[in-house]
Amino acid sequence: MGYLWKYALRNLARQRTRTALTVLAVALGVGLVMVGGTFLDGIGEDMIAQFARTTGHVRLRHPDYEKESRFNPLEFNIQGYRALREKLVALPDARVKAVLPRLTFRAMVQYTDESTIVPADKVEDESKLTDEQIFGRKVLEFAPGLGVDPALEQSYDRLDQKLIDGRYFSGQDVHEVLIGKELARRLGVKPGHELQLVSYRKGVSDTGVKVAGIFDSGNRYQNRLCYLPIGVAEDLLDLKDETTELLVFTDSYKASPALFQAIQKAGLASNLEAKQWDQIGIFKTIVRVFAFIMALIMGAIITVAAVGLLNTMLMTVLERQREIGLLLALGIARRRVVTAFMSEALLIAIIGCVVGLAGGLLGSWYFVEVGISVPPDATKNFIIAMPNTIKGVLTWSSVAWSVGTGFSIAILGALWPSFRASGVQPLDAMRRG
Amino acid sequence: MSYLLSLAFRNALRNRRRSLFTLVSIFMGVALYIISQSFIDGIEKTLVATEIDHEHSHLRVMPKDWLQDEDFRPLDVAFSEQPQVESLLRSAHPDATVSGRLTFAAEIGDGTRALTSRGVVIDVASYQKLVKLGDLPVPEGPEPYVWVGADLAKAFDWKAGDRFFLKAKTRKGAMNALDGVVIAGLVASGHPIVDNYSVFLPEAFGRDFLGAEPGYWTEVMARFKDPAQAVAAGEAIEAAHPRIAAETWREKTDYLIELNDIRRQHFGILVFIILLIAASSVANTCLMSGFERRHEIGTLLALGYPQRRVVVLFITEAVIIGVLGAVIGVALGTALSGYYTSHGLPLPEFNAQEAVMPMPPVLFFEWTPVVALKGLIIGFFVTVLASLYPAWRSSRLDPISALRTEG
Repeated sequence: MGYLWKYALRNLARQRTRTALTVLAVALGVGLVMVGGTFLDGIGEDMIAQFARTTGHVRLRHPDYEKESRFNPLEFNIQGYRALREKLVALPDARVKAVLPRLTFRAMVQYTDESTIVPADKVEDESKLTDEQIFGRKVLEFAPGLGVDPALEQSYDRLDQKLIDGRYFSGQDVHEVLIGKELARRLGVKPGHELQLVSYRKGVSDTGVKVAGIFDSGNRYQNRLCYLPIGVAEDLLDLKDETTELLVFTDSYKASPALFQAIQKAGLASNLEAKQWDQIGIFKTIVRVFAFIMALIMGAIITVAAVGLLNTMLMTVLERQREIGLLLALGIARRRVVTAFMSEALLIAIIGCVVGLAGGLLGSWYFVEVGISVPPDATKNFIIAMPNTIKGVLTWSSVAWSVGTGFSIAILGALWPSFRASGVQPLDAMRRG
Repeated sequence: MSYLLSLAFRNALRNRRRSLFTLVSIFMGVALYIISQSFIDGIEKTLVATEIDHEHSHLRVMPKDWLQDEDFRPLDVAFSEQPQVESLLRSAHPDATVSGRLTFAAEIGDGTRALTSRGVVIDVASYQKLVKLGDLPVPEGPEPYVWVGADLAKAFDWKAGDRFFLKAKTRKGAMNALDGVVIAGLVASGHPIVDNYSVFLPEAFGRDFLGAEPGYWTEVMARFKDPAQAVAAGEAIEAAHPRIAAETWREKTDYLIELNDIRRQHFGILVFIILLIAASSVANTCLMSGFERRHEIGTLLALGYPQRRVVVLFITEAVIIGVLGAVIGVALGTALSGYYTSHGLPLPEFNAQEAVMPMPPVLFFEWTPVVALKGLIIGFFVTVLASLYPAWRSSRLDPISALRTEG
């Protein structure tokens, strides 16, 4: 067997330029797949990390919530979520890290700017005062409200890191809100100001809250949100132990299928809708589109490189007809001839992979370390907050894919010429040569 | 020279299969280039056209303070420059269509469910000249009526003739609500902000409901004969009124174009690498045919044929293959892109809340002769560059040793 390899190696060395060019083609394919994989994985990781913070690894909702979700209904809630939370945390088969309740509702926020009120001792003629001078200037805005568990939200949504002014919630059930910077600017409020939160589930109800902090999530929609402790939100909406959704987190998003299974097995979601993060919303579409583009590109690269190799190998076979004829006449098995040519192609693939991986590592390193910056203006209209630098993540799967590409090219390109070589008629070949 | 060409042709045809394989890699690169460019240009053109035709027109003028808070659609921002802006537009561009609109945060609902949407008060006749909203039928009877975005109506299961309640903050900041507003018709434009979030009110009802005085608009909009005029018009307005912002269709769609430039770069790198692979294939073929014919070349050189000519001969041979490949690539790329340019590529349906970009349900590619020509030129240059070194190498042959070895 060893002599076949030696033979292949010698043949490659015979035509150095040709071998180098063929290796280059394979290496480019390998390197490109690796860098592309790193880039796509990076987008995936970044987006998944951002996305899973809004969906949890598994999300629980009332089965009818989804189809009405645009209206932020409060009729389809998870009842008795506190007890359910305890059960989820205690699940035996899955390592549940946290269960975040989120209560989404529509609200109005009112701020009264009292600086316009004329003090009583300065009033000359009461009948000449405007409403603003008596009651203050009132600003009222529609704002989506979000009741959360302050302690858990801090560790999972990292809301505290997005604060640009003020501080995080001072406790679990405090009458405080964190508001987005757009809403804060519109209302003209600063941390420490008092707001009136108005809701109109079953008639109008309201509660006074204090602005603890102002956050910037980098996203226009989210910067209009108003976060408050879920207990306060439940009181305002007159709900007892109800939430619109529960986000369940385990060690990593990769473990969500196991978590999903465990929840189903324990029967905890029997009358609820449970969804894994990748089943939610736009993500499915994005993943599908990425996979499609990736497949298309891989297909094109493999085809172009394989055709190049095919061409080279066919040439080699034609050039060496005489030699093959001689080998066959001396009684070498046809199988061996195929092996000889395939070894040659595999050698090209191996060298191509080594060169391609080296180049690919360099390219991937660039993506991992430096990344591609996306102008913030381009993403501020997205519904999901996007990081402004997309960094690559180098995974073993990219390496495996790129090596797989190299060998697919070699095998696809060499199979036919190798069999052609074994079909050489010894007498013909020697007579013609 | 024609003799050289016929020689090159014959050589290219000598080994048809080899030429064919070489051609495949070039044509794939060129076809991919054309398809990807047409795809991206198509995205850009469709999105920009949707934005202009159904929502933004060519120019939108409003106070800077209002623009900053646009998402809240405030009615308390003064726009005292509005009459001057309008007359400035009309006098500088007499053939432009100018109209105002009054947008506000409108809560709409059916009693059990409610949504915050965008209310747009319009002067129907002039606004319809500005953007395309389709047919806006006027119902009989005295009740107030509006036109609702088709997707918004679908969310509530509403159809024309249904009634709903409308709630909004008035110009003075108080709340006003009205039940039994009639849906006179549905608006389906393909622009998500219009179809998914908007309710259009005729001017009389809108002003009455919001307590807005006649002549008060939140935005002034204009459509020009030539879209490029928007830039100069916008600059003139901003120069005359420092508090006012003029947003051209180009600025409005800048983020789309920026995103597309990133996409273009990525596709460009990909096509470049595929063409590099193709180039290595061309170089190899050229090298091989030089090696095969060293006998022949040796004879030519020995007979006094100039080396320069040999180089040209090999390059011509490669170029014949390359140009043929590029032509097939252009043909295939054009056929595919052309099909999607006229028929469109149906896009997966996005959830209403997720569609933030004006994404139409069908994406039309944008194939232009320029892109096809560029593809052809790229294919040509790749082959020429790839064949330079092999051709040069073949021409440096030593005639005597080439003739001595058996051919």
